[in-house]
Amino acid sequence: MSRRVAVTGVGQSKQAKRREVSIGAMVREAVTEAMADAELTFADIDAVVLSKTPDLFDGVMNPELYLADAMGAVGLPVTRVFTGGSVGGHAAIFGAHLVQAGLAERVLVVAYSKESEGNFTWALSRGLPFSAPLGAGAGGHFAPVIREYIRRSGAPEHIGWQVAVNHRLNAVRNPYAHVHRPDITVEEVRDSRMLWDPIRYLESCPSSDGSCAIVVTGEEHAGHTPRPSAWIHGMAWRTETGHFAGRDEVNPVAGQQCAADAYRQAGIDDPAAQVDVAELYIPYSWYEPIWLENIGLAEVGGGWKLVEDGRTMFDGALPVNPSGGVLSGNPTGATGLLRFAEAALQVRGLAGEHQVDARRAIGHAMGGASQFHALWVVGSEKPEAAW
Amino acid sequence: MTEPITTMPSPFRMDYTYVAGTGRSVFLRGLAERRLMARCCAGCEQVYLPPPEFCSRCLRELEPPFELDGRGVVSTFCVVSFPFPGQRIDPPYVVAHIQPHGAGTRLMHLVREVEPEDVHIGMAVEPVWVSDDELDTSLLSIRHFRPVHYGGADA
Repeated sequence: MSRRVAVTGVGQSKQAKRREVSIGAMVREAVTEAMADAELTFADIDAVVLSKTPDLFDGVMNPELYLADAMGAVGLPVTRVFTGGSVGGHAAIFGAHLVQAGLAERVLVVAYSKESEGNFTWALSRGLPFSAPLGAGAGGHFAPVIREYIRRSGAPEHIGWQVAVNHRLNAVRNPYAHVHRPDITVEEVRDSRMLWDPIRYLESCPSSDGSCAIVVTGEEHAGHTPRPSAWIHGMAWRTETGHFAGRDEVNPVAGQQCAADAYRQAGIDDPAAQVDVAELYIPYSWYEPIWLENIGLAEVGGGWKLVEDGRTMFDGALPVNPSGGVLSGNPTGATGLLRFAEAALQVRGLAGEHQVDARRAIGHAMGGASQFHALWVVGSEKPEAAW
Repeated sequence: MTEPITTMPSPFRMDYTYVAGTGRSVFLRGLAERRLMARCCAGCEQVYLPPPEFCSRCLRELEPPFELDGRGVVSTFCVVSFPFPGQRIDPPYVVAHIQPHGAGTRLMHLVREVEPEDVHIGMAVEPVWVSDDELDTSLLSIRHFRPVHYGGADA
């Protein structure tokens, strides 16, 4: 029997090209906001978890040491969680596991990337004897997967344009988002530059600087602040290797199993009907239908129809990324935690202008070549039983 | 009034010693001889190219290596359509996931000697190897893949 766990504090920095602050100062922005939200001081924190992409990306080795002051971590156990773009989701779950296991009462989970200080394309393009030097970059990896999805599902090409518009219009409601394009249209997305056919410029995420932090506590400590808690109803991570014979990267088995496990914990048997809002890791617009299907919010082959019918728009039945999502800001090391934190804000009723009507929300993160998957279900009400 | 210092570039480089291991070494040595060496898992009958030592599904050691001819089909692809620093080829060019016949894995490589708009999923392709003096223990030994025609029909 384990404990009920809740998120009681959320903080984030503005996502942008942040040349006016150091990495430490940018991290501190989110930490300060999360601690104030939870109404705690550093003396209340038992452990700190840091989420970060590879050191190579912005050139600081062992940032968990460099950032000890910024995170208030001096004298505390610090764990660096390390996957791909999903890392923030894994860090949130790891922090919750510490509380659930009774190893800590209150955990501060911190995440950041400062992409303007490094060179991602270079860091992602190191030569290895097993791969030819293709000069494809991140989009060059995901674009063929998207083409395969389109072919399998028979989706019309405007689906990708519509998702790009939906998320950018949502971002206008989120002051922390990097990209603000209140006048964006489907035609503008359609006519934007082709990068990796079939991915166009406006169907792609930006490269951002930004940070995020959350406070996770056991149930004895939740509910003692004026602001409501987000209760964790289910959480799971799954990983598959990027290279195994018979692998399906359009609908990875690890993603399916990750979601199924979290739903089982949360007592969800019909996720599309029982979840009110989803914050999904969508770096390219077509990943909205791809993930809707992968995590069981739509039938296989039918994810694009939810987009077509407007169900995933801000005022739809299942809003996806009311924050504007990854397409509107992508500080990669923090992006996963931002999804998890935005889900928590929604069920706490603290999402501001991008608040939707939500009692139960999904936070989702993906990393690598769709190898790493993390997902949690959070709710406004305390779960009936700890799982 | 002097401008504040906002950035200070500090480029660095690092050299790695890559240890391929006994399993992967078979594949890399094969490339230097224009041979694509694959291995099969006796547990799930899946074929790996390049082969590791153990099956990622079954975690059992793969069977002895055997050669594939490298012909296969385009599983899916993208067209890199914009210039960026460090690019070796002028865009547009095709980067494809190629499923070699007899393999359960895909190779990512260039598809050339065809206009990008004529590339399609299911297109039959074959490897184009570099000349003898350029052969190496790396995938650079395959310059690119190109369409192959079996009496006009796709494989």
